[in-house]
Amino acid sequence: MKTVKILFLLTFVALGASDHLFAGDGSVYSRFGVGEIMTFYGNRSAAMGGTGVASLTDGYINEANPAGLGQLSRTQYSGDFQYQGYGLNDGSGSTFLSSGNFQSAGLAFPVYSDYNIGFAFSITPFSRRAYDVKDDVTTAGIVQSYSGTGGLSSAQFGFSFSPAQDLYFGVTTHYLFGNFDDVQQLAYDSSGYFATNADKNISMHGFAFTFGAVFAGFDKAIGISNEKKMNVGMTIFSGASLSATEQTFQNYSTSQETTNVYTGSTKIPLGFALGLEYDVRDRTILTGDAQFQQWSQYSYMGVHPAEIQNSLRLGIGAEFLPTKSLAEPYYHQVTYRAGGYVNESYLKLNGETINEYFITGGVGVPIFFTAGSEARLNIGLEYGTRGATSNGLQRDTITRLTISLNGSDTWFNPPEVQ
Amino acid sequence: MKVSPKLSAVILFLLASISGCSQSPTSVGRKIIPGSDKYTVHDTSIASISDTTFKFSSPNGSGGNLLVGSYASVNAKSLLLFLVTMPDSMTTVQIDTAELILTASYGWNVALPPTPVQFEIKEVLTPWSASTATADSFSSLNLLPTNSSLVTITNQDTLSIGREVVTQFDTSLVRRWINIYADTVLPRFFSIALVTKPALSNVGIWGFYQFGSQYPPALQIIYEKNGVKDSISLSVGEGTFLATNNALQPSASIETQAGISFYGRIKFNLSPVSDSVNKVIVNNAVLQLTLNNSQSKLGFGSSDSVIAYVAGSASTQADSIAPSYFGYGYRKDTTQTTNSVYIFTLTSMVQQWINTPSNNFGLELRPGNDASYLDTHIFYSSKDPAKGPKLFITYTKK
Repeated sequence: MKTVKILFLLTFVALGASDHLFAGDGSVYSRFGVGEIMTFYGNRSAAMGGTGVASLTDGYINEANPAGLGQLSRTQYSGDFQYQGYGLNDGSGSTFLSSGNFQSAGLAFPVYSDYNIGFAFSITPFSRRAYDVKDDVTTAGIVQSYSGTGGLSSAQFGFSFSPAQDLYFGVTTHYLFGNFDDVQQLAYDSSGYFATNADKNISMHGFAFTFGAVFAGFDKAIGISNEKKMNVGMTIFSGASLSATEQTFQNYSTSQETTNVYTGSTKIPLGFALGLEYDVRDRTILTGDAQFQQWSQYSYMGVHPAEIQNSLRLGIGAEFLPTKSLAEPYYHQVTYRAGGYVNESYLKLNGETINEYFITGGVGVPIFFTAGSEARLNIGLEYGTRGATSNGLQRDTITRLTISLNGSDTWFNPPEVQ
Repeated sequence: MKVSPKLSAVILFLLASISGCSQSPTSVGRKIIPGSDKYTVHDTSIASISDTTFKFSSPNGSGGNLLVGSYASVNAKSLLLFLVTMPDSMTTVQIDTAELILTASYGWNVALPPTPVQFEIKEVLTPWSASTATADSFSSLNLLPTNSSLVTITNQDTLSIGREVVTQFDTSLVRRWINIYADTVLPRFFSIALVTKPALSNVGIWGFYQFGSQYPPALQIIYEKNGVKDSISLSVGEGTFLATNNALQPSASIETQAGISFYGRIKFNLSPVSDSVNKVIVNNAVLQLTLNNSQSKLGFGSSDSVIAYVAGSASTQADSIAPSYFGYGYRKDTTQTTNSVYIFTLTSMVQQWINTPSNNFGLELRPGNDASYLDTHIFYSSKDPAKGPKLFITYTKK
């Protein structure tokens, strides 16, 4: 346990320092809408192509589907740190920007095993804005710079229950909140010129819900198998109307003035997800998800931006655990994961949809196992591209490295009924 | 099962290593920023729509010089007030001599050699204060002649800044002041004036260092008591000068003259630049004035300085300026002897006019050292399209 404490300490030191170590660097695509939508359901899911809608997990907190909490046997905890590297190329130049952030933290625990009631609390990113562009090319002697930081986070409470064998339901209440800060500056090479500088700050907050269901043993139920190997799951994201306040701090040589103050709402649209999970001989799990969100209904302050469109994400994943026996060699107890996804993102610029193509992978390294607790260090890697250099766009080559501590213990577990 | 410390170290090392991989932001992605989101830069020049020159009454007591003399329509006289501290024993001393010591600091339109200049020393009976006295504040100034010598200066003296001019001072007046000082009832007002000798004209304006400066005026008294000679120097006091100019320049020019407080007022119409909905951001605004060199006159010992203040009201009152927005003017090319161009950076002032168009009362042009000199700057007015005032503005907007 001493090692775990040290790891916790180191992890939180790294997480705490991360916001200072890394600037808010990323892709200019995150300037639009509510930023880059972060489909992060935990390290395990990230390494498996972002899938997990049909997963009933024990040992991980399934943030893709609240119904997936139904098989938790012990209290689960997790903390995630994510590094993101962006290789940016617009056809005439390239650069590499990176950032690192505390990504997510969660706590989940079973409450009443007869109905598989479980609760989960977590905070996780919903979207992210991070870009920094300095244009010293368009006009000689003038540098226009654009930078943005912020995003939406989801502080969420999940609840699951099982009204009947193999049927799990769940609901997650999301409190979406966050700020977007876009700074734009125009500076001159010549001295004595006042630099134009404006800082647009947008804050949003509001509630949303995810309703989920998982049916375990779908293959047996429809008669294609004698065993319960296949789960199907689905989620419905309610969408949200977030209260939004926008204000711009415009700097003049005489003063700073707060201008363009608007209050209104941001409409986050409805979304659906369908998932499939198949267990192969208790060693390998195969997953597949499809997620759709009706971003064509998105609006900000009553206006739908022309560049925002519906999104569709298709992902597949696999997890391989050679053995669950503690007697086997250490590397046999390491979990191996792989996956990939394609995402027709909600962004359409210059007439082209900004598509993403990613391959993913990862490992889950056991830290310790005892009778009452266990912990794994999970490392997930995502590598892919977004966009293209044609038509005035840019291609992002993105690497995401997620390092997480996931564990379970018997904290809060109700005593077993004799 | 325990995690390897080496593994932990490797992970943390990996985190630390990748944290330093980021490059500085570049122009990659600039094409994706919508054009409507970008600032556009504009350059324009605007000619002034009107101007005027006016006179204001402003005290010169805070200035660094005491001016006396006359030239053309300009006349100046200095007032000096000695704030005396003397021992009571002075009432019994025999005063041998008294000298007024002045130190040259400035000259304006001074005559060439060999014309000598002489000023009279008179006693001032009219109460005055350096902080309030102006040429217009006295209906009449009660001056009494003294038995002092004439303050006589030659061009050799005055053309050398820092040269002392020593004048024999009326010892009977000193004796009277000593007696007044010893009397606790009589008011202690020990003031003299330096005025141009009436027979002289166009001798130029001469400047001497003010009280509180490194070379203050001093009244040196040499006396004898009980057969022993001693001296006392009175160099603490306050001073000012009263200057008048009976003629404003022709209306086709914008004039500033220090000491007299001639100020100019220039107005610009910024509506071609200003957007009534979205205020533009002024990045640089430069006022350009063209000097009529032949009519302008700078003295020696002064700095070539003019200041443009934002006018705070339509009224041409000195207290109407908003001192937070101003810009010093300087010659663009100091070697140019005709039509010298003066440049003023007025970025904040123009922004202020754009932010609040109703408060655009123009700018007020003032001498840089209003209370110390008599330098005259005469600029071409708005009526001269080629050489009239112009604003060159660089601004941005979306």
